[in-house]
Amino acid sequence: MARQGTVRNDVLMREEIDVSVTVPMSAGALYPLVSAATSTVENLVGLTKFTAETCVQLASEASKSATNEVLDRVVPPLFSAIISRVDLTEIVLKNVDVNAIVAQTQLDPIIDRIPMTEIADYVIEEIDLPTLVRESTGGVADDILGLLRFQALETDNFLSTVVDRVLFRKKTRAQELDQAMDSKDSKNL
Amino acid sequence: MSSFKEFRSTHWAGEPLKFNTIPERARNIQGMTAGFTSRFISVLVDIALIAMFVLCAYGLWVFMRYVLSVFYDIPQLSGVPLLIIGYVLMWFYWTWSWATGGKTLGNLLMGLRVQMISGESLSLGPSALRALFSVVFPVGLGWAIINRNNRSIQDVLLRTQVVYDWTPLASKLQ
Repeated sequence: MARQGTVRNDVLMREEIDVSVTVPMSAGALYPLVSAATSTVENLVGLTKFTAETCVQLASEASKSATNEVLDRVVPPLFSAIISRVDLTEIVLKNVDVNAIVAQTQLDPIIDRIPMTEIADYVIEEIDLPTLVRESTGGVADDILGLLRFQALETDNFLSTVVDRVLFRKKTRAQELDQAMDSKDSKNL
Repeated sequence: MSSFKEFRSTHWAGEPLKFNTIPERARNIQGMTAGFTSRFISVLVDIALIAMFVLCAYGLWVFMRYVLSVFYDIPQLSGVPLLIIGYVLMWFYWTWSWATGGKTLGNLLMGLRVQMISGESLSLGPSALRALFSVVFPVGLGWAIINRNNRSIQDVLLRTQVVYDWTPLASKLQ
């Protein structure tokens, strides 16, 4: 044991002597090598890590896409096949308290989205409100005015018909007027 | 009966609704030339209006004359100056009415409007000429009985026409 130790001490001593002699010359040459080796190792480790991460990501994306594709193809027909065999309305009516949902619904935003003015205009036009108002409030004055105008119109028709016939006109003015009156497309003045 | 969808496709939000207050039977004749009777009644109404105005003015004149005769010597108005005043008033009234909307009170009553053949309103010049023609030669209206397009002599000469326009005055003022 002591002998070995002695030998080792000798070796160590010799190494120390060697180092003390060679260090000033070889340190400068070793540094670039060491740093290059370190950077290469670091790069290799980074590359490996990146490759591994990318592979994992790609595999994950591919599996996701494949799954989605399969689901897109399988689920809709499956779902529609199920739905077609089920009466959803009945299920909802049986199991869902619609009144409770309606009671909790905020109506104001819904009302804000409804075109109230247009609905009002539509109703006014559909029930012909102007005519109703005219008939209820117009009264005698409007009737007399309308009567007077129509009577004058009829007299005009009579007079012009007589004159047009005497003058052998093919189409009388009264006929033109009657034609205009009977035509369906009304003018909007 | 149209659906709300159809209604929305023809009307857009915020558009004021235009209601047609003209009786349905008369809607399609609006814009057609009016016949003699309607126009004659309209003229009679205008003449009656001016005559009433002149008579009222004459009544006032007589009253003032009676009251002020103590202080001033006011001449008595005979028939001829009254007639001339009536004619001049008629001319002014028709000129003003036709140049500003084409309707006298008589026209308004009978639902008529005086316009150029092109459909434009009469400007002051043609309006004054037509009014003068109508005052001086009222018989010219009789030609409307014979004319194919219900046009009187003044209409033919001045390229004007009288059309049915039953639109209420209120809707035009809006």
